[in-house]
Amino acid sequence: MTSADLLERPPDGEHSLLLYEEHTLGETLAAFAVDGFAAGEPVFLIASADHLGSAARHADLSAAVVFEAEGLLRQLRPAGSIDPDLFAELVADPIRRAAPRTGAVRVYGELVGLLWQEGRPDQAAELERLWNGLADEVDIRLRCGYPWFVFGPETQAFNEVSDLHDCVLTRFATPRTRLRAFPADARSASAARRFVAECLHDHATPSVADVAALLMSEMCANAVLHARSSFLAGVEPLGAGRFKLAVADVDPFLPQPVAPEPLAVGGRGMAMVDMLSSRWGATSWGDGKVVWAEVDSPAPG
Amino acid sequence: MARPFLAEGLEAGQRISYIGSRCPTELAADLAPIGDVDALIRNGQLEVASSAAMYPGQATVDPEAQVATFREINRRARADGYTGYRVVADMTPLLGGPARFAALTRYEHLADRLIAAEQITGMCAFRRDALDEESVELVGCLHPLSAGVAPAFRLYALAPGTLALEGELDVFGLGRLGEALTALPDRGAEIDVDVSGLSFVDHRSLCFMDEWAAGVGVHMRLIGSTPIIGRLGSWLGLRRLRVQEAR
Repeated sequence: MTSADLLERPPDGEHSLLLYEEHTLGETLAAFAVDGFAAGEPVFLIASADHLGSAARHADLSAAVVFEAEGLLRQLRPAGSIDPDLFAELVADPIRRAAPRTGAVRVYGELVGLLWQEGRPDQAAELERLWNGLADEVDIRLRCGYPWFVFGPETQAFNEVSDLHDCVLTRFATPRTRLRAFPADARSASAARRFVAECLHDHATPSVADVAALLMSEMCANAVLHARSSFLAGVEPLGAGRFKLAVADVDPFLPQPVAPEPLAVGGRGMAMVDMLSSRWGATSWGDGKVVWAEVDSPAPG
Repeated sequence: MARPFLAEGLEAGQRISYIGSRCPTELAADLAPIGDVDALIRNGQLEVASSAAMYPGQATVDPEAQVATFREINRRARADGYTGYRVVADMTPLLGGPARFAALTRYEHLADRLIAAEQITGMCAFRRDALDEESVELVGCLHPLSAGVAPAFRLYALAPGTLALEGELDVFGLGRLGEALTALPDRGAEIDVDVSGLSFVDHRSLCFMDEWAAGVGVHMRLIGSTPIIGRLGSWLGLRRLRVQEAR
């Protein structure tokens, strides 16, 4: 999947959380807007001046309604917290007015990401609820932009905010992917295995579920033990009983399959992932990485 | 928690003991709701004792001697017409430092065997604030059941030479697994481990058990394995650990 694919053809009424990477956001944002123009949708872009400039290098955005995010955030918070009346006046009303009789309004917004980076996940969640209130009245295809690393220090807050969305999108996550953040501690591998079991429940054979648990466990153990990082675990159904599992962390070093000493307790993890998965890979993501593996039902006979 | 456990023993016609860190009068008062405590003590069905009396000197527990004591108590209970023996013991006085903890771990293994072999039912109690997190997990994982701690895995003796390994075992539990295995008494040359209750084990744990078995010169057999453990075991080429799948 390319970054441009991420935002194509969003389902109606979708409210998604985009974990963006700085170097591809311009292209992603431009594709999102262009797709909206093609569908005849009004397009609102609420982003930093840098991000708007970078998107404008990829497409003509003159048909979009554009807000500079930092300035708008200052207007929305005259007394330190988001004023719902000002949100209604400055954000919700223009979107309501632009909404066509049939069809959606397309909105990309980074206010929430800015709040998160200020250390105010509570205010980000509050703003997300205001957006959800607006989405109850108006058909909006809403992308909320957060920098890729926000899951890191505050995994629980991240999960709470992601629950306010229909899906989390990023380079390794499509609208079908279920994504969860886990802290860098000894119980997280077990918690991530339970998460995988929940996702696969009733959708996978026992043997696929067993293999998925091992693959997820190994990738999580690497994030905690080697990267010493909190991590995002993703499960994506690929159809026909196949699943893609992914673990992303903030450490840039990619795992290498190594030839271990026979029976060494460590060192055989990625060889095992290679043995159990139908395919796997690792790639940079943001300033960290994502390791993924696909699990398939064994061929009959 | 001790009270309903002991009341169940009374109903089942067992002799019961309540061993706690407080004085016997206070312990007896705890049990007042289950019956006429004085009468039960007089007729010999109930004993209350302070753990200082039960574990003399507050020293390191002598695992073999302690288990022999309980075996003898049970023998007498049976001879006196009871159906068995049930005990709640506050083990907190046995804690304190690695040597005492190792002895306690060994004692837990021996107690498991005794309980599996005879009509004895026991509840080991620990004061929560006397244990650090790791120790709480370890004492929890040495018991088939626990309250106040939900260990990731449990390892306990079913009989001499046979262990049960239940729950989930991954790389983050290897420290506890190592302590629990090291404390195994008279392990012999072959150890059977019933893993039918093991819902997850990772390759690192299998390698760890294999290395441990090689280190102490035993062979281990994992009985009742799932196919995935068998597949992992074959791929790893384990030397001292044989994986036997459930039929």
